[in-house]
Amino acid sequence: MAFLKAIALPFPSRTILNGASILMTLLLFLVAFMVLTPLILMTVNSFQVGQPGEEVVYGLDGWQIAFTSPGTVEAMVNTFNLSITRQLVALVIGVVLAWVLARTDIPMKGTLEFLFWLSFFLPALPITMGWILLLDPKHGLLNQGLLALGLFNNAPFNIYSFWGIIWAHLTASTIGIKVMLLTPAFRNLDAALEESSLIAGASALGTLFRVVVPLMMPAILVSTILGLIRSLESFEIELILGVPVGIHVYSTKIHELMTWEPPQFPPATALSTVFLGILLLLVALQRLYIGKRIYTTLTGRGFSVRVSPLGRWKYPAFAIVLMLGLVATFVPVGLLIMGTFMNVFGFFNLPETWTLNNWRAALEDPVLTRSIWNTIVVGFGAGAVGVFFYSFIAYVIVKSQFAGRTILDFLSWLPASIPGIVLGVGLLWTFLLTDIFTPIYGTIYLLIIAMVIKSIPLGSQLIRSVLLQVGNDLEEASWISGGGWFCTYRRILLPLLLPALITVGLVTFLSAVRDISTVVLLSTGKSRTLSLLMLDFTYGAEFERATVVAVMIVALVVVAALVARIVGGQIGIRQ
Amino acid sequence: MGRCIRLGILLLIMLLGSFGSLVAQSSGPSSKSGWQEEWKQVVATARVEAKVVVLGPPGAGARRALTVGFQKSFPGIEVEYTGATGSRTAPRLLAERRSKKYLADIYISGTGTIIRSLLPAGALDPIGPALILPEVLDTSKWWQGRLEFADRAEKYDLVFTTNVRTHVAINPQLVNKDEIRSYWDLLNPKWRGKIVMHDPAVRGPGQGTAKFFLIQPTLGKEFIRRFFTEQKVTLSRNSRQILEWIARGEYLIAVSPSELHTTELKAKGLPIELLRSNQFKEGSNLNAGFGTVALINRAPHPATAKVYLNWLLSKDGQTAWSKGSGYPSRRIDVPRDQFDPAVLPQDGKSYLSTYKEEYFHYNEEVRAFIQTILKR
Repeated sequence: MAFLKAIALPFPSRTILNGASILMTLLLFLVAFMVLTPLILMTVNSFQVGQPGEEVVYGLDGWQIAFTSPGTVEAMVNTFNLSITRQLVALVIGVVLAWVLARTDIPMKGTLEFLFWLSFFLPALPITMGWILLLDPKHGLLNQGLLALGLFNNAPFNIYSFWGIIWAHLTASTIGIKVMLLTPAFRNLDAALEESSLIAGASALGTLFRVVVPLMMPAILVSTILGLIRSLESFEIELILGVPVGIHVYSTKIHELMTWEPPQFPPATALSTVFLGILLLLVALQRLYIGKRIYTTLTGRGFSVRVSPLGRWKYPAFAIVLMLGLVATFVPVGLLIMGTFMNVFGFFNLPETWTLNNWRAALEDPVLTRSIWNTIVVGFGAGAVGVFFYSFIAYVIVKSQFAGRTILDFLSWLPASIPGIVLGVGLLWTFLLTDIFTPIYGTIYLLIIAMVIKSIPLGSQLIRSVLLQVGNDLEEASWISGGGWFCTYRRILLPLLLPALITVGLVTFLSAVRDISTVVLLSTGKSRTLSLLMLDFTYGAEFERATVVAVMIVALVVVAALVARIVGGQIGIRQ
Repeated sequence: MGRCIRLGILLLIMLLGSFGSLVAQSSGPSSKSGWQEEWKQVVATARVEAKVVVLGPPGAGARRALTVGFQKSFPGIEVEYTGATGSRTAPRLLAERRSKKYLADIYISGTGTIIRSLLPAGALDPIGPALILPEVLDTSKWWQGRLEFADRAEKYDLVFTTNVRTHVAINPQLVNKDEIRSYWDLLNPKWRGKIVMHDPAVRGPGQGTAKFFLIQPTLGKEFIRRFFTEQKVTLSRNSRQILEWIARGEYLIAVSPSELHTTELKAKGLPIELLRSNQFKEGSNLNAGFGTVALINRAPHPATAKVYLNWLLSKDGQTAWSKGSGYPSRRIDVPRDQFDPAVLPQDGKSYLSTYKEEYFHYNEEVRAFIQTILKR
């Protein structure tokens, strides 16, 4: 245990080669290999302009095509406008929601938080179709209802618009992920700090924005950077809602190039480097901001998790949060479930509107059972391995004096800079060029590794932001009392980190369960997951059957989330 | 002298042997004992290999069509089927081969992927030598009395599906179909802002239609330019969305509708109607869809690949494909009752076979031209 103890010590001995430094160096090399190999391969291939089967030729043609093709600048402007607007709105709502859920006496907080988790888990395509059904300017049910009531002269909502796209994103995942990432961090805030602020005469909101938010900056910055990069890379919703009204975004350009025949990797990867540049800039700014500030809120001096009473605002706040949660979950899930029983989703005036055929066909599909099993294995595998791996990365970054920890921190961000559709190709190249992966090529184990790599930024950075809140004195007290590293980790750190670990495990699980762009290039007929089965039905003009699979995915995730919450409640921090 | 006689006898035997083999070849694989013996041997080896890896088109219908029937006919031989678009499977296959991993046997896809990605990479074997069953080789069973290939060498990319492409669909409750007898009628100002099309900037039906417009001598660039600039055409990349708009009356005319989606939704009662090519004086082109097959070389299961290929091109295989995929087979002994006669190519009529290699350069040309017009 001696070497493990050395990892945790904030000021370890200066011995150059001890067990801990070897272990941390190995970790650094492992992460560097997993992250840099696809990135380097992609960069090299962005200059490879030879066609398939032809001689390898290097040139700048790909870069030239990428940045001179018509519409690129306009798409870039649209992308930034959409991303920044979305993140600003989501950040304000997310911070307030996370604070309300973690730090106030609002009723049913567990259920409310779960609603936002659920909203993040829902598959984008069927949910977008559901919003179209409600908010289409001509036929949307909500628009028609409001017009029938005489409240408006023209349809008040238009899903095919800038704000329509923002709305679809906010409800689909943007707010959900903010709540998921920020609530555990808010829970780790010592109530004494808020109480001091309130005693000094500050209002509840004043305390939130002048005390709580600054202390939460590591978590807020992580969720904002990840959210911004995800916003820049997203294109599924924009393809459906934006293209018909001429709103093109940057990622649709990459998508276009990747689906060309033959796929145009050089310009697609050249365009993707913009994300890398932005990410590196944001991470540098984040490090500059956090600098040497101290964000420790959990110390040995005593820790209080008392909640702030909302007083007369308790029930109005509850009503607002409940409404937001229901809009983000029950409405789309309700539409999704309804769609599984419809002959044609959203068409109520057909000779036969309702049917059980979609369920029958999906359940009778010979590959369904295997797909469910593969999904469970990939989801749980990635979640379990991910939590362990990301904890280790975060622990080294925050708690060690390892010389390479800054590099490790930067490396852990990099997979976020590669759009999913391009990352899939990069990982494929990486796995093919490395003999170590040969025995598991084509199996679900490869999918697990791919998903673990994909979620490194979110997982390691979230745990890192929570670890920043935990003071070293807690661990030191444990060691002085004779506790070994494992005992200290299990009895001190684990209960404090558990909410964040559960969140990370679940988000990794979800990413693995929902992912299409990464796994589609690595899976075979034997390792097909439910998300690929859903894609199969969608391609084959069987959209309603695809919604059945989407409901199965949601059910799977809900069960996993419930189990995680129950288990977390048993082991978590006791007040 | 004796040595000369022995040499002469040997030469005679060799000559007779060569002659015999020539006779056998000329009588072809349909020579009963020849093909049966070969088939028996190939099937026996396939049973030992016990598996065939097929990279095929996406879609549950296609997957079922290309797996279930074969496994019933050849129990004990597993079909490992991976369905995805060519832009996903081809880069993967080529990357695997660069790493000396030869994992796939059969490739079923559109002609673009096979000819533009796999063929130049030297990843294919000629199909002819792998055809064994007489019912496959019997050209009288195939439309136009021949096996159709899409590649210039006529060796590698065998086309087993052909339909006459339908480029326009309407909402019959809101549009009188007799008003549209030529593609030029789409330029009628009354349709301005009422037309939706699959985005021709990306692979898919929109690009196929735009290519036809470009190649058709009476349409060409002038038609395309006016179509996009005068008619304010709305573009979408989602085939389902296009058809829902038509059914709801948000738009009246869909250009480049997905025939598969349209047929499916129409059968369920949505007011959508395909305007068949025989309604248009400019006609239409022939489409192969995902219905072409290639044999991957250095295959891990070469015997099973042969068995699978012969099954696929047999009456049974083509019937399964035709039913499952919704596209007609080129085999004329496969039932065609479920298809609108207008999508079935007619004997004696001349069509543009735009799926063939010689038409490929038009894809890039039309895409670049439309991007210039739309300034994006």
